[in-house]
Amino acid sequence: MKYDLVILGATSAALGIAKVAGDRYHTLILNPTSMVAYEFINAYKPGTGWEREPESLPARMIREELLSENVLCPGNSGNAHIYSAGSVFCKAFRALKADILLETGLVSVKEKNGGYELSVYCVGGFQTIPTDCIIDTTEREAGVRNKSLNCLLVNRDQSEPFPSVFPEGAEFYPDGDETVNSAVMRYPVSIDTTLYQARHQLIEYWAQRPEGAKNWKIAAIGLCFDVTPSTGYRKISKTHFLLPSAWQDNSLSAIDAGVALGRSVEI
Amino acid sequence: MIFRRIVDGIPQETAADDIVFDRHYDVIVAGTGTAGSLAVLAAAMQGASVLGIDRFSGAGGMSTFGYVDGYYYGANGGMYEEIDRDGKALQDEMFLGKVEAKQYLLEKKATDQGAELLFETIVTGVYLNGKTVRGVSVLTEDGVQNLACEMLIDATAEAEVCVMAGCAADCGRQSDGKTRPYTSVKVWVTEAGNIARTNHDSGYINQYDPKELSNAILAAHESQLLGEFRNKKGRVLFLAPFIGIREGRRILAEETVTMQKILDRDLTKIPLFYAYSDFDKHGKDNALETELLQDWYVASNLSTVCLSVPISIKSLIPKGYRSLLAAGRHIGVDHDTASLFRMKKDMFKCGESAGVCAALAVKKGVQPMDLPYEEVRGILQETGCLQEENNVGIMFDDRYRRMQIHWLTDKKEIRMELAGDMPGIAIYSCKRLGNRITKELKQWMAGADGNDLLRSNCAIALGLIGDQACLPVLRDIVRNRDSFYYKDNRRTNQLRTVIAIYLAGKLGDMELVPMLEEILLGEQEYEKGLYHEITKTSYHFNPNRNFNEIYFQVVSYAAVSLIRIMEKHPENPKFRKEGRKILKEAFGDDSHIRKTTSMPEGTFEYASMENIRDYVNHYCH
Repeated sequence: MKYDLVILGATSAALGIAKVAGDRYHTLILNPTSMVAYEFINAYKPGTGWEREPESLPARMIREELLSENVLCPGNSGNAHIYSAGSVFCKAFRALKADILLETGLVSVKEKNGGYELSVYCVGGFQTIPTDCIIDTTEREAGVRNKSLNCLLVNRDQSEPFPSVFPEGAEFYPDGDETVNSAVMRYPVSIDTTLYQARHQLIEYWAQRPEGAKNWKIAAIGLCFDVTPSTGYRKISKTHFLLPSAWQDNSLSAIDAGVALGRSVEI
Repeated sequence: MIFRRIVDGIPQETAADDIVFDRHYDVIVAGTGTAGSLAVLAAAMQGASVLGIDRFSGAGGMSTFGYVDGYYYGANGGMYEEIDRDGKALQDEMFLGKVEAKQYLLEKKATDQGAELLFETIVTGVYLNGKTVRGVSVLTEDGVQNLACEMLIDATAEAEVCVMAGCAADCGRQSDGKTRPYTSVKVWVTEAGNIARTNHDSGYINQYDPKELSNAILAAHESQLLGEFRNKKGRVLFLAPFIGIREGRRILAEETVTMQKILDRDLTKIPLFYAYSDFDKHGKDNALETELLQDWYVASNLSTVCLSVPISIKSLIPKGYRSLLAAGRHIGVDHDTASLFRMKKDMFKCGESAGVCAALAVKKGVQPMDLPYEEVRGILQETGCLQEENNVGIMFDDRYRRMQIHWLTDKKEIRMELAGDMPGIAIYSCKRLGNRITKELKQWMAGADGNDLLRSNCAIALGLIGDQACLPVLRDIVRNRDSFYYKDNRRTNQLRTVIAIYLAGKLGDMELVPMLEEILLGEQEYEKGLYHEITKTSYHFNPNRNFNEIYFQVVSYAAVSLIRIMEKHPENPKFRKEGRKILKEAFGDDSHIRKTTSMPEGTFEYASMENIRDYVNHYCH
């Protein structure tokens, strides 16, 4: 089936693009895993600027849901547990006027007849998808400047503060509240490290943690990398754009950026 | 050499005589989930060069990415037990939950044994010489690689690679093609700082349709927002990225394990391991299952009975294929058995057995079917994967009742059991005895002297045997909308009205039809007491569920039994026309769905009655 627009990555930016472009164009979102808005949610990417009011209506509506689900703190303290927001984003993606293929890997992209021909692999095997326009919201084409594997640490003792002297080799972002005493750990790895290798490195790093951090246990490890793309928005051609979602400060900013691009795209 | 792959859902075959493989392995394991991870480890421990491939970024499958962190039955023993022990120690030191420790150890132990692991990689094609597998094509982040192997283990759970290679496979139940319901798992931290997981059945899915799969994943995870599935205080950590799909394709193997063979104990004498569970089918729409399963699960009320099942190498071999083994829930079993053969302990053992057999076969230069059984048995006994203690037969095995089941033959004993509220063993024993017990059953039924249980249970036993003498009693039960629940099981005990509708339908009882019509179309039906006032403590209800199971079961059985009766009377076209009219009217709108649940479309609760509606509409049209 031919699509006017194919969005690569079921990212937060993809949500914004599809929200507006889906009304005008026959749109498909392709994603290699089953996770959506994964670049923040499943990466345990803390993000910044959560206190800012988003510009677009779709992002503001998501923000309202995140507040009602206690993912964002009502006082706009900047504390967000975005990793808890999977269901909210699944609902938003499901409501889109766009087709979504999860667990679908991109094999190749060829220019053809003034448009593009994508070869993908999904549960139905190989498929060929023609399209007029591609927006890549992943860092596949943009490149990666640096990346980390993040995890959530939890201390069962609510009263024990996170150690003031952090172990070297990682960054820590305490994000505890009255319910759970927690912190996100960002463990930087080299660009060519695989997720599997990074996970083992992270575990072996935390096994060597100092005595003062012994009560901090790993509750969950990122299912994808927290990446900083090499570039933000780029227009490759009239029908080929890059908008790496992870470039944005947070999921809501990424939706805003997606909405802006989705409105401006003319196919 | 030929190359086979799937394009747009259809297998394609091309010549591949010039293929140059990038690397060569003794054993390649496609899918390093619960079965595959142990297959990798076991094959490597036998000295084979092994490559494990998985589309996820790590090993463990449902045990890790699916976050199924505990066990439901399965037989003990095997290499997984050591991993669990080591995992517990590692968990105590480092992790809040079990899963990350287990995944780390599954991977580390495999690579310590020299195995290679290739994650975020998909097997996209298979190379064969005739029906002998020679290698695979894989898609990695870096592009396509062609890898040769002496033995290929398909541990994908979906028979992906077997189907790619051209093996025959079956999927779903006969009535409507549906598989068991799938599950969404949410992982969260409690206020006490402990990991918790909650899951709920999320509906039915054809996981081989890319759009349907995608929508099902989103719908399942979205449903965690519904009030019915919210947690008490805590914080969500993530939604398991691997939704819990309980059933998929099953290969046509050299030997298929069927429910009939399991119940008759007509099973292999040369097992690699024993599986052990009840027929844990999850779905509520019992009426659409096989009659054999309904005889057992519904009419005999033996739903939670566990059965040990020996599995031989033949059930792991796709029929007619060489150098290819299956390991996981997609081995040669029938649909009914697929609900039993899927528990994690058994999947671990299936993988371990496949890994051992594959490595030994390579070492000896033979096919797995030709391996000397004594040698295989010795290796598997050493780890405990195969142990005769697991050959426990048929059992009630829970806190409610723990006892081995021996079918009854003594008539006095049968009568005594039939006079009670836990008559399941006696009823199924009568089915086995058949005509040898009908005379006594009729006498006891007629002379029950106010013993309601004896009278009803004799009728049920006669119904199972296929004797029409039971029908007046069964009709009385239905007419009265009898709200009695049997008590054999810790859960899923059956309502006597439902059993009666099932059996009378099975016997083609025309006199039942007016009652079925009243159930399906009667304006006052939903107001009847049994749908709202069940107080029997023997039935395990989940009060959080927005699902009127009594109404669902009675209506679904009324509809399916009406179809059964129509099918039993092909000589009466007028009746068949009338029956279709009743069914069309009953399911022409969503009133039965809405009386069953107010949950939205796409939920398991909605889908349960939707399945019945679709089955009826398909039949009528």
